[in-house]
Amino acid sequence: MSDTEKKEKTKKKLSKFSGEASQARLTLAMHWIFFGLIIAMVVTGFILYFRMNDSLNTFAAKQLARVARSNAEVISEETVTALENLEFLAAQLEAQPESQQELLSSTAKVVHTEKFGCIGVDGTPVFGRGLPDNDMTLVKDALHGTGSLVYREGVGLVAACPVMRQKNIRYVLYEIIPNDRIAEVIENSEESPLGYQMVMNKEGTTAYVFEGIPEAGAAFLQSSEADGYFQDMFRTMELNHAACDFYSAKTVGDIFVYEAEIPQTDFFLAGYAEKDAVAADLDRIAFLVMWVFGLLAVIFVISAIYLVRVQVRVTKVNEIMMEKNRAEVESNSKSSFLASMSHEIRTPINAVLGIDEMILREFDDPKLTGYATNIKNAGNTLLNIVNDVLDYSKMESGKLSIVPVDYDLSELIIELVTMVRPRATAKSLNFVVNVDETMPHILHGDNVRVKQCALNILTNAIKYTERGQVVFTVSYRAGEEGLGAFTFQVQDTGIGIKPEDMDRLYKPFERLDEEKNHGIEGTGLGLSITTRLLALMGTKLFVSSVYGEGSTFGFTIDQFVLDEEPIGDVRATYKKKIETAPVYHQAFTAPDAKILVVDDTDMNLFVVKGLLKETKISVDTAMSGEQGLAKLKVYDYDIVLIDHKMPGMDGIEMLHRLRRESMNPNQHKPCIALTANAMSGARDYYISEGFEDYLSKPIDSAALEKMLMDFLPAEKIRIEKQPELPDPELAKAVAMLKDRRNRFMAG
Amino acid sequence: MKKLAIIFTVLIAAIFAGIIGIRVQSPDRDITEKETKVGVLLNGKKTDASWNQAHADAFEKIEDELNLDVILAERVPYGDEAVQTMEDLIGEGCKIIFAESVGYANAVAAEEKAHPEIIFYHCSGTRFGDNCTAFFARNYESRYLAGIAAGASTETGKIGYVAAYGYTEVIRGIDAFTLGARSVNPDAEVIVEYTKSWDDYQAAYEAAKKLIRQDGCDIIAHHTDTLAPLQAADDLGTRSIGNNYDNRGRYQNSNICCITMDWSSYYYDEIKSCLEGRFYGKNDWLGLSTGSCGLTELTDKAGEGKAKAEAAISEAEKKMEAGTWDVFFGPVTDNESTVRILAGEAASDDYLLNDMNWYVQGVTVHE
Repeated sequence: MSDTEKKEKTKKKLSKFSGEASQARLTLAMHWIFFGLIIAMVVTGFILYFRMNDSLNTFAAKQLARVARSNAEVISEETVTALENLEFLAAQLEAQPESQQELLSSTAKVVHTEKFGCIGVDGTPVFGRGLPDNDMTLVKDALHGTGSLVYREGVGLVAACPVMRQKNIRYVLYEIIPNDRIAEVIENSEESPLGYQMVMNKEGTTAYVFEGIPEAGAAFLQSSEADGYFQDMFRTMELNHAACDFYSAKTVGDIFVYEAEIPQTDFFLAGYAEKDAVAADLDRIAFLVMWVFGLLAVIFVISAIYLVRVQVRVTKVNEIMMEKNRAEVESNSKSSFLASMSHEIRTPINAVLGIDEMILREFDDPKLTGYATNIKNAGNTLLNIVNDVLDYSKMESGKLSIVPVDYDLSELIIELVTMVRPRATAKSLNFVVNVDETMPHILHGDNVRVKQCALNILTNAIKYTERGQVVFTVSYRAGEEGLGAFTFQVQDTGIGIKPEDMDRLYKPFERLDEEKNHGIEGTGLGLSITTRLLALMGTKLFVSSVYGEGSTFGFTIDQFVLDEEPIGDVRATYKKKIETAPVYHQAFTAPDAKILVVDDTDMNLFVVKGLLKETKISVDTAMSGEQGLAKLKVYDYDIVLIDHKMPGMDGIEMLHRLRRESMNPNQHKPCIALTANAMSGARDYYISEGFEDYLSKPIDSAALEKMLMDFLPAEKIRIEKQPELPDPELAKAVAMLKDRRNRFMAG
Repeated sequence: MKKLAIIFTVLIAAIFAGIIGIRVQSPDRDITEKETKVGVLLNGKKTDASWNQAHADAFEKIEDELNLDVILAERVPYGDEAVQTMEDLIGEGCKIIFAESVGYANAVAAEEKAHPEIIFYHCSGTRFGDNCTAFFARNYESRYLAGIAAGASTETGKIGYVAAYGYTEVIRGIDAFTLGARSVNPDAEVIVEYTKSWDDYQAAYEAAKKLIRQDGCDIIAHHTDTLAPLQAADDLGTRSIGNNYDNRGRYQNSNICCITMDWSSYYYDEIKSCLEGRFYGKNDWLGLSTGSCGLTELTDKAGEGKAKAEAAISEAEKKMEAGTWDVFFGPVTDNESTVRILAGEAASDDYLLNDMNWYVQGVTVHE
């Protein structure tokens, strides 16, 4: 997938989550969820509360029913006992009719005379006072032969029992249990209070409502509403003989209504108790449960919120990751852009300079060489400009790195002087070099960039000075922990800088005094690059200037000091160097040697061929990896130069393939990589891929010849001793080439 | 996000399902809201103008008010068919079964056990249980009043009595009738002829004829389920006293009064209790005061004795309703001059139901 396609895909993925609109939507959704959650919790809480109340009430009701039952049993005992006593008495009377009065009176002693008696079938009292109002309906059943318990309002409970003669009723014994006696019985019982009670018979008509009940209660018990409740419970009574249920009554509020059969009678004990009286503890249980539930609900909601937030954060992180990937992709594409630009631009420049070099070497015609020299100068300038632009680009994208190495400061200074002095001389400027002789010169740092910055301020000084002098000073101050602070300063008598223009100095592409400085070459990037480089190296430029009189530019940089040995007299060293500068002519010939050069650009091939013409080495060329391999199969070569970046099969793949071809005569021959964008660590990289070494393009002929000398079989090399001629021009050229190469190496 | 929302929704739904089920407490107050099915077994036709029609009429009177669907099963024989009929009725959804004849006793006993959730009423039965009530009317009380009417109206002093079988119930009726007659007419004689059938028309007709022609009875009373004796009396120009149903209109030329049974108020109260869930098994023997049994007003066929009869009837009614007196309060002597119930005694229900197999003074039975 190409870069653009990749980009599209990531864009699509991001569009779902990114953007303010969808962010807002997300937040809204979250709010709705919380709202819904809380509502759900509340509703659940209510339902739980009701359900629980229900269950607790049912429990309480069951308890109450049991109590009612036992109370009913107590009443039963009392009333049934009365009847049983009468039955017993009746039996006695039947057995001993002659002892009638005796038996009756002894019974009467136990029971109040008013309440106990014996009557004939027509109501005539035989013993006692007789029935109130002589109401025989009270003993109706007894008259027909069965004992009975009848309740009559105003009278009470009437127990009646016939005294038989054979199968006929002779007398009726009765006992009246008044209302207050019934109430007494219940109130005396040990059971917990049952609220307000009454006794009623099976037809549902109220028998007796106990005293002490507030009016509302009494009214309620006798109301149709209560009647309804009793009916309800009657149905459940079948099994338990007592029933109790919780009701919310209209008149008396929350109550437990109960009914209990009074065993062996036709009556019920019925009544109601207020919920508060009976079930106070239940409320506490309910409260406890709701409290716990509430807490759980809160915890639940909080967890939910937390989870959602985590989720949101995760989403955000994913977003950020996507952004990061996107940025990386962009960054990478920028890098490859820069790399390809670098390669694309330098290749034709390489060709121009290379061929120009060939012209300079092969032709003596002064006019021609004059033109060629101009081309060379222009070409070099162009190259410099290109390098500046690429450097700047790199720095802007953060691709430029500081590569510290061990270096000799004296070499650096000498190289600077070598490059600069001719220019100053050309403008009839006095170039003064002051170097502190005591400072150490074996240092560790990025010498390339340091030199670049120093060169920049030096060339600027010369550019903007018409007359007078340029003073270059290098001084030193010892620092701690192995560091030393080195100050590079350039002072000129140039046009100076207006105070208001000071800020514009560092702006890229800005030239000050455009009109005045119109003729001055350069892109205007130099200072901008220098300041950035200095910033990368942890320092900055200092400037002072008086407009019209001159300026001073400089910087102080910390470098690691590897050796305390003082630099000594650099000037002397310089002079010596100039005089003994080795000149590289073709130092050797190798007519029996045969090399293959593989490069997809035929211009490059042409250049190499041209550079090696004098060496008489037989140079074969191939335009692609496949072509190269084909040739390698057939011919015997001593060295193979392989361009790294080629379309299709690149140089590395070609090398690997070569190394695998066991039938190939050149399988293990030394291979040199050619590359237009050499970076730090390039040598190690190519060696690790299987090359012996590499050369950077544009190919430096000296470097090329040296490389060939290193790797050609010794017997094929014929060295021709040449007189060593000092040539300042050449020395300068050499220095510049070296510089260029170093800069290329630095990437 | 979606996943989270789904999880939460499922969780909450689960909580809901777990706790759901709020019971709303509201007593079901309107017992007549739902229609209740009631099944009735009749041993004859519901249009017999007699025993069965009395029952049918009673149900008809109350069914609307209590929202009942009364299913009448007519002419149901005793025995297995009765059981089957009850099963069918229960199958149809009847919640209460009325068995309106003494002969269904066994069927009731069986079904009562088989269906503890169904309520049974056995008319003229004596056994009651957890889900069965036996009920009857104290017809002897109304017969006593009828006897007063007869005693006061007879001119020959001979009153004919056509009866089906010599059950205690029938004898009790005869005795009550006779006591009533002799309370206003101490010389009145009651002559009994048995037909050996409840509804054999011909037999009843012949019996009545015999009593009129042979014995010189000028009033015919009966204890059968047919109208034959009344018809005979009417045909032969004498007077009659009806049984079970008010047929005075039918026999305007001969009928003095009729013993009636009006079950409607009892049925109403009982069925209402059932619907209210108040049912409990008992033995109800309903006296005059309940209105279940009664005597119609006397027609002019009572003749000169009408006023006397009415006064006596009224007094007797009062006494009976006050509970101070009932028909078989002593002294009662049988037709062999044995004092069966002493003065100051009252016959117990047990006695009346089981031991009433003798005839009071003044009763002559044709063998």
